[in-house]
Amino acid sequence: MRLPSNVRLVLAGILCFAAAPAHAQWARHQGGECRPVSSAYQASHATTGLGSTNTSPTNTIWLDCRSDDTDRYPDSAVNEVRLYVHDASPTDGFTVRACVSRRDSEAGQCSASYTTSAAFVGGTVITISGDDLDLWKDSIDFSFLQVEIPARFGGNGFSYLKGWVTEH
Amino acid sequence: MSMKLAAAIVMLIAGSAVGAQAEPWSRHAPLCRTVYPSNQPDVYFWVGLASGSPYDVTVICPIPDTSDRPDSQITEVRVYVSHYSIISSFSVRACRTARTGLESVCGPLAWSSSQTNVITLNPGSIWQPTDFGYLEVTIGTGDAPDPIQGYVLVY
Repeated sequence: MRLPSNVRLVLAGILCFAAAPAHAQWARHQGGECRPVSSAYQASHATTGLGSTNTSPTNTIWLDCRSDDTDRYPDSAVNEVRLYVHDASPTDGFTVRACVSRRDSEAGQCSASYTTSAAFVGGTVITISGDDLDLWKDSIDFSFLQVEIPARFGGNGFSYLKGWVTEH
Repeated sequence: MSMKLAAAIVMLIAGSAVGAQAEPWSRHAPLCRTVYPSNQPDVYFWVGLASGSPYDVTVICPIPDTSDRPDSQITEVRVYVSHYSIISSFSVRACRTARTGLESVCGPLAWSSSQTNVITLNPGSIWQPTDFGYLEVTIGTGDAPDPIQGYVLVY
């Protein structure tokens, strides 16, 4: 059966509309979901309504934050990660990097580090994008973020990882 | 033939509409963390608090938030708590960490009733498109181990 051209046009439009994503794909996580990289940081890691923080007055802590990796939205398709932080330390900053654990080897690898400047104090967004997400492009590996939170500065100087967003 | 064509178009439209809908619910084991500074152990799945905790303990539980299923579209939260707990001492509320500024905001508390092991919460407008949503659960003094069984989100 050969359909009239106007009907074919309508059907093609409907099919295209059904196949196209409705909007940009993203996932959002509260900072309290991250975990200390090792037990050495456990005692100083705290979860609060403002996200993850470091209670140590002297030492930084490192956290692991999971990525999202599903068949529909694989982390290999992530093109930007944004971390929302509050840096309360005028002497030290946040450090973040994208990392991967290889499925078929013992190797692990991290991207270049992104930091807030040591003297900066306040809220900011740290964005990882471009070549530094190439580590996540291999679809069989296990991706995650690493975040270093500065030591507490003075009585109220807690720094927070408030949350992070991945954009596909 | 035109009737058949019309029927085919209607079926295509209906099919695409159904395919675009999110599942109406999601179900989660309680991967919650104790809120600082309670000095209590974390509440993980099947690994709860020591029996008869002498303290109220508040935990934060993650809420999934994706473009497919944004937390701003959640209409109901059902938190299932242990039958062995003193469930009337549980309370739950929806909260968010602000993306800008240093602030967290919570909605009203929902309390358990003594007749059921389910606490039902309507998050209202607390979970907004750009912020980081979470669930805050307070477990009262004397509750049994494994106090939170899990939670269901309805969209």
